[in-house]
Amino acid sequence: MKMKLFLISISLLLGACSSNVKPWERGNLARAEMTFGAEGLINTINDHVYFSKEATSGGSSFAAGGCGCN
Amino acid sequence: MKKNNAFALAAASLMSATNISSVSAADWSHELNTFIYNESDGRVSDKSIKYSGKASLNDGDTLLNLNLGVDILTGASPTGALPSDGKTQIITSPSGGTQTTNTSSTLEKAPFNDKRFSFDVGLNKAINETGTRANIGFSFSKENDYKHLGLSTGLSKEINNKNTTLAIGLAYSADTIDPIGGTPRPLSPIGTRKTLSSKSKKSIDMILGVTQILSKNTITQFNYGYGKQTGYLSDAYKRISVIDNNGNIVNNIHEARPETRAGHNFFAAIKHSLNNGNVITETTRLHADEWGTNSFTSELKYRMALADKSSIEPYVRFYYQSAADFYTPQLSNEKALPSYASSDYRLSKFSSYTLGATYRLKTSSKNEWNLTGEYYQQVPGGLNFGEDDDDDNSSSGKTVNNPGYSAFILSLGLKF
Repeated sequence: MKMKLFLISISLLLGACSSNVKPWERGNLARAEMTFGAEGLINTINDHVYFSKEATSGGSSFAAGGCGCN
Repeated sequence: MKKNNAFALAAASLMSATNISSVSAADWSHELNTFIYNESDGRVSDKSIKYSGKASLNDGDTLLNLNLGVDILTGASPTGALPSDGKTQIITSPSGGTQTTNTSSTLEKAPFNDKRFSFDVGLNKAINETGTRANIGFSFSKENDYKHLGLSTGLSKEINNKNTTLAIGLAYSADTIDPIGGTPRPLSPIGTRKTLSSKSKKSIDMILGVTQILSKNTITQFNYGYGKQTGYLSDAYKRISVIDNNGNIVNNIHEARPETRAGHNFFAAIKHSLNNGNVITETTRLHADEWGTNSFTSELKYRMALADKSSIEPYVRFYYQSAADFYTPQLSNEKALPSYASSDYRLSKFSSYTLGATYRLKTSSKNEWNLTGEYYQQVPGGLNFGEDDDDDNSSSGKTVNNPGYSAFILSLGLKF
């Protein structure tokens, strides 16, 4: 089931690749809030809390690492 | 000004190998954040200060980042053992030495006191004119009983008229665990002789990603990640109760986890800007690994402009994980000990919910304040995808060892 969902996602993504937004149409996409990973330290903090308190982590980037968390 | 020059100087040593002649203070942007994290029932408390510095050089040709953090951790962490009906017990705690604790509450907890210092630095550089970039990074962190060293590298490539970005990343880390009081032998009774040598843990991670522009207002990202850890993956401070038929504790023993763990992450994210400029962000993650801790995570954020210079971003997050195959709230004295067993609540089946909001206020073109309040609730049990329910906490006469808990975070940050 999970593999099916993944394959459907990939198919949708490849279908979407045909979109071609021109550079002068990307003003909105250039805003910081439209950039993945640009949220700053609050995201780092949250990732570390989740890493410490839950058994699984990572996904958007490498798992926040390096602690013998209590 | 003095501080800016110090950061520039620190970065200069990293750049000496990359033909970057100089960095001036004006190239840097900074973020400073302080936060408090508090768990309910007198559990973990964290007071922290973090710094992040970024420099963009040669019109973005080279990007540098530097992160520093200090955490002061106090409180008490559940040991995993069952409550012993009000009796006083001697516990070797993560803060060192032995502690006497009364265990009449619902959980047996070990008090601790720790400091964590973390540092990482990264360099991201364009390596040709056609949108190919490379990055390298180094990370370090240290606690009283734990040391982390990590290296990472990656490549990204823009294609399809810069509508698509492909990325690959690799990371390696070598951690050293040096538990206070020595490393216990797996499943050995509490109080018996421990080995004094430190233990190591190694991790390799790989990530493959695609970021795709879907329209003028929509962008999406898909990542696949594979990670493998080997070495000492147990928690030296966790213990499990062995009980008899009547539910009485016969013995408490140290936990034992497998020495390898490989897992997969599937991650998808989408950002969409509405006509009024407000931004919706949704992220979803599926995780599966060989310990059986499979998880589902979904987070939704909505960033609303309040005025020209301020915005608020409420968010909700849901997380569910199944229990590790070797998770057990307690062991029976009538059965042979298994090869692996842990009653760490973090390996049990649970759900968690996060509710939070970030308020941002721009005070100049470069300066921005942000204030975040967040509530986190962890509850035992949760979704059931048809897996066996034998990891529930109620499989014997004794009480649960993960009743759940809540926590709040209050964070204040300044970008300058």
